[in-house]
Amino acid sequence: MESEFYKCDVLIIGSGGAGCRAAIEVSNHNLTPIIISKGLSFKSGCTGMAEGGYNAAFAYVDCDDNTNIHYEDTLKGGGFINDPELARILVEESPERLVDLENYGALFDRQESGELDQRPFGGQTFRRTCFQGDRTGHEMITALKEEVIRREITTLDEIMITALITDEDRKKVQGAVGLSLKDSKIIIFQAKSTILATGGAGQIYPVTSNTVQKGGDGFALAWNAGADLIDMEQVQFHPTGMVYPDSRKGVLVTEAVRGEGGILLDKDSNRFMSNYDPRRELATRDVVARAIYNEIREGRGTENGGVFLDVTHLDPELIEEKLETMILQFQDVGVDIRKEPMEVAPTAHHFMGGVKIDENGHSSVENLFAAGEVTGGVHGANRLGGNALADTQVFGERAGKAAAENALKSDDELNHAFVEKEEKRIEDKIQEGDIPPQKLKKELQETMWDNVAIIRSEKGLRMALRTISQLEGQLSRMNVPEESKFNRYLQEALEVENMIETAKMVITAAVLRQESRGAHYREDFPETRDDWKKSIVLNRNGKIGLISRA
Amino acid sequence: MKLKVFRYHEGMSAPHYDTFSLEEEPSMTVLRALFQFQEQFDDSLAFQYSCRGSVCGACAMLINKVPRLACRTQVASLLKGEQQIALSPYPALEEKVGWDPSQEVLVEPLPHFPVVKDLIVDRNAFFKSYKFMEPVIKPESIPPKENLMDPSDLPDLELYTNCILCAACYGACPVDGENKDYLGPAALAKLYRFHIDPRDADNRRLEKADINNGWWACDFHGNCRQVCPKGVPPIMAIGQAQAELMEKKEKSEDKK
Repeated sequence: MESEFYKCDVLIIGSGGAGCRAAIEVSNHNLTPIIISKGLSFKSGCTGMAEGGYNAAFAYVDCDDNTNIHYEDTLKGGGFINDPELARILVEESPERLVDLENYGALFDRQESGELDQRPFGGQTFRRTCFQGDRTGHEMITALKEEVIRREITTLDEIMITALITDEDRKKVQGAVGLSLKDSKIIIFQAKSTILATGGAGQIYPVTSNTVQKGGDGFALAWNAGADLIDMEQVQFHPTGMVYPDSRKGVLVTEAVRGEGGILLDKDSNRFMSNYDPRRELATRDVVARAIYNEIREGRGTENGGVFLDVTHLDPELIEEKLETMILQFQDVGVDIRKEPMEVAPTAHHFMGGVKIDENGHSSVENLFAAGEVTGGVHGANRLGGNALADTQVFGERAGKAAAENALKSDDELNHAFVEKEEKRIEDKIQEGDIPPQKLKKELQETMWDNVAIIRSEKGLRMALRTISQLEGQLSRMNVPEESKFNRYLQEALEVENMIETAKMVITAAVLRQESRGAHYREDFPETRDDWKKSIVLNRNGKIGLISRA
Repeated sequence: MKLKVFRYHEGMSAPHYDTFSLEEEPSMTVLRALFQFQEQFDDSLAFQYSCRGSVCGACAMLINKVPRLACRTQVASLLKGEQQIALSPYPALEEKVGWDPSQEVLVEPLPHFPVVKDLIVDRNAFFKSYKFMEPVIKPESIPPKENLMDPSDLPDLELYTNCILCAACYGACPVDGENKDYLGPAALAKLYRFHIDPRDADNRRLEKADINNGWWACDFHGNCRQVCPKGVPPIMAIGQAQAELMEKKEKSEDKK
């Protein structure tokens, strides 16, 4: 295989909200960033798909709101295992970062006064979520992209990063090795700092709101480089994903539908949420997702395996104005949401866990930074709607700044032996075998859905672990033909390894946490236990750490 | 029901079409049909997609001779003839292969771009035009807090900020097909979006495309507006920009 070589100050893996924001900060320091994405630039991240909004305690609508209350809501929503320092930074800096977005050209909805409008979202004391209709993320990524263009930042797309380059002692990261999906060339990036902004791993489940690129590459890259990962058992299932058609299964139905007054009904039109939580439809996502799951499990779901989400009682004009994307999204499948209810079911949405970072986005490995969904700690055991977009901007900015400062004082080095080994690993994937990589992916997704999703138990988790070990054993039998342009087999063979690595982390932490907290619900341990008010830290060196949260 | 798919990869003397019988599924989209093709017929089929929910714009392709997103186009309604749009004709719409619209869905790469493999095209020309427009806001000064904005200014802007840069309009524009240097509908609509943004202070935005291959190259076929999956009307932006530029010119001539 041919290889190409790039050198830069800061390598940024991922072109979503966090990656773009980090790149802007690096360019503010007059250093060269390069942004890499596995799919098309700015199109393959999840930021652009985010609909509902961005939390910032401006108190423009409810004047009693402030950052302290935003902080308390965030911790309460997160089951009190958030890294308090990171949560504090999130709420304090999110308003300034939203203003940055406006200065890059993003539009947000306004009140008559000309001030920003803010909507209610689940788990929040006040109306705090800034938005642009139901395409807030689209507006954000468009503005970020345009700022990246203004600064002439290099963006390279359709490159899958396969490994972070580490020095001989595995103490420092020196860049990354990638595979160009367009032509199967291997690309070597030498960088003084590297930022992971790869997003989460919704694709380890068969039903997810995430883009197809999100298979946990960043978690696996960090793990293999020796970084600590935290709270990996905490996977958020968004309560409302589309149920059909198959190609749309899991695609998000925004929380804004409930924020604007949408109600949940079982197949006989009973509004069931009051049986679960006094906040009803606006309870936190973990509560609503479990309630829907339970309704379906106990036979009160629809034929298609969902429940109804109804806005027909709302003013059609309000629906047209505030939920336009939803109207179109359901029109595509022949449903007019102004006249008939939508059908929804939970969908794998967000990884609260991820790379353990300090307040500057620094991981536990030298020269390696991370921002956005690939990190853990900010959201604890459950993320509030509207806090993820804020997270990408607040910690994208911080990681960008810190990575730039680090680049100014770190050396140019490249562990050639590592690079050669990685090139060989990729080349060796090309072989005749009897198992298509796609099949391993599917089996992994099924076992994760059956055993490691919304309701978990020791027995199910152990079963999933066994299945996944078997799949791991089959990796050497994958069939990967040689083909230069868009070799899907090669891409999927590399991806499935990352998915397996990620799944193992989720299960390991889920087995350990013998209680229920936030998104992690154990049927065999349904109570939340005070002595488990702590985070689980995993590392490939085998050590398991626990961090107590006061 | 069948799927007829354009196939090409480097080294082939000419492209060909594969026909595949689809297993019916409720509300099946063309994207789902392409997955089925990969699962059951030939898993090497290449196409791009990301979000599955018509937000990212990666899966724009020519479906039944109309540029559109595979993720939001329903197979059944195509076969019923419900989603056929009458476009102003251009060479890419001529039939290169026989197909029966009542039985088959025809899937080809987005026109006016070089084909890389199967349904994947190189959209660089499209993004080059977009960048040429300087799609960045240029305010008078950076406000200390966010701007106050009149909410009634938003709907006009939203008409254009909705663009997801899928390039369906570029693939549908007869002028882009003939003239590779024409900036194209999406880029021009984008430029207009900045022109009408009350926060933007550059009052010479429209002049950026006051060139032969800019505003004045449009023939007003209107295909752009018809195919846009987000309802963006580039043709309106172009018409308004032309009128404003002419008015500006008349005024400056009056002064002379």
